[in-house]
Amino acid sequence: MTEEKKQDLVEIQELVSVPHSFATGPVMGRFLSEIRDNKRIVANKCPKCGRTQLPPRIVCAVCHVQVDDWIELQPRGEITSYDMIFIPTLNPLTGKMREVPYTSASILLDGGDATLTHFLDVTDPKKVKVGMRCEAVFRPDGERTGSVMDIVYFRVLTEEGSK
Amino acid sequence: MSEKNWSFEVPGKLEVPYKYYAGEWGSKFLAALRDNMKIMGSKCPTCNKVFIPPRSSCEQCFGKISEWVEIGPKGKVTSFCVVNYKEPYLPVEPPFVLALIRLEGADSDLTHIISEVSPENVRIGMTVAPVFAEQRKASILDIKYFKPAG
Repeated sequence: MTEEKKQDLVEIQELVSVPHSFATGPVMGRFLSEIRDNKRIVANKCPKCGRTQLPPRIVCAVCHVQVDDWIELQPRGEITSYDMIFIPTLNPLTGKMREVPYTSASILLDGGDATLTHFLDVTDPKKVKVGMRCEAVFRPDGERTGSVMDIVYFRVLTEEGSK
Repeated sequence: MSEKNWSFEVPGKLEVPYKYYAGEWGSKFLAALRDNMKIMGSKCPTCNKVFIPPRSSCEQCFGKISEWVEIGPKGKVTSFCVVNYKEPYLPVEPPFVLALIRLEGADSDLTHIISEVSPENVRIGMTVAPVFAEQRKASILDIKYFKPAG
């Protein structure tokens, strides 16, 4: 009996890499510039329905009217929901797997009625609850580039406790 | 809003790694390049068409193909263009010639690079021969490029 020769099956590792650039436009540009230059989080407010738009946009997503009123939000607020991620997934912006665990949360910033989605510094499920307070931790001066990642993460404030 | 122009440009990148499985016939084709420096095609028993890259079913009659044939290695340029721009995914530095090459014995064209000749001297109908890479890893770039041949 002759041994059957196994076929060599070829698998090719490829990398799709697409460099690009996009213009922020005046509204998103102001939001990102304020974070970069002044460590301020700004939003805009619809003149018709009064909603806070965060990140700001030039038109209200509900009323479809132009939004020109700017407000400053506090760099702290309340956690309204969160996800803790333990399974690594591909980050298409880097081509690398995301480091786990990490926590993504919706944060209702003081001074408005809109939430910002960002990361929390806590990855222990026992140490985070909806309603807890947290505050933004900015990158040091000179290291901010005009990106929402100029906020490194939101630090959960345990001493203030839940509401 | 104030008169200040807040717009700026953000550089970005999308990057997605993936694995491509060459399949039964594709694997055989690539392994032949790597191990024997041979270019293999597949021949339809009904239409007598020889396909490169090889395929297991005929695009003309939808019949099953099981015959392997060695083709080339020489071929004639069917068409070509000159690539003048640089992108990260391109295998060589521009300017370079990308050509359709009809290998001897084949009924379809292989797309590959033509080198060792300046782009302005490339002609449709010219005979070219493959130059194989020294380090071969079962990729279409195991053929480094084609060069003019007599």
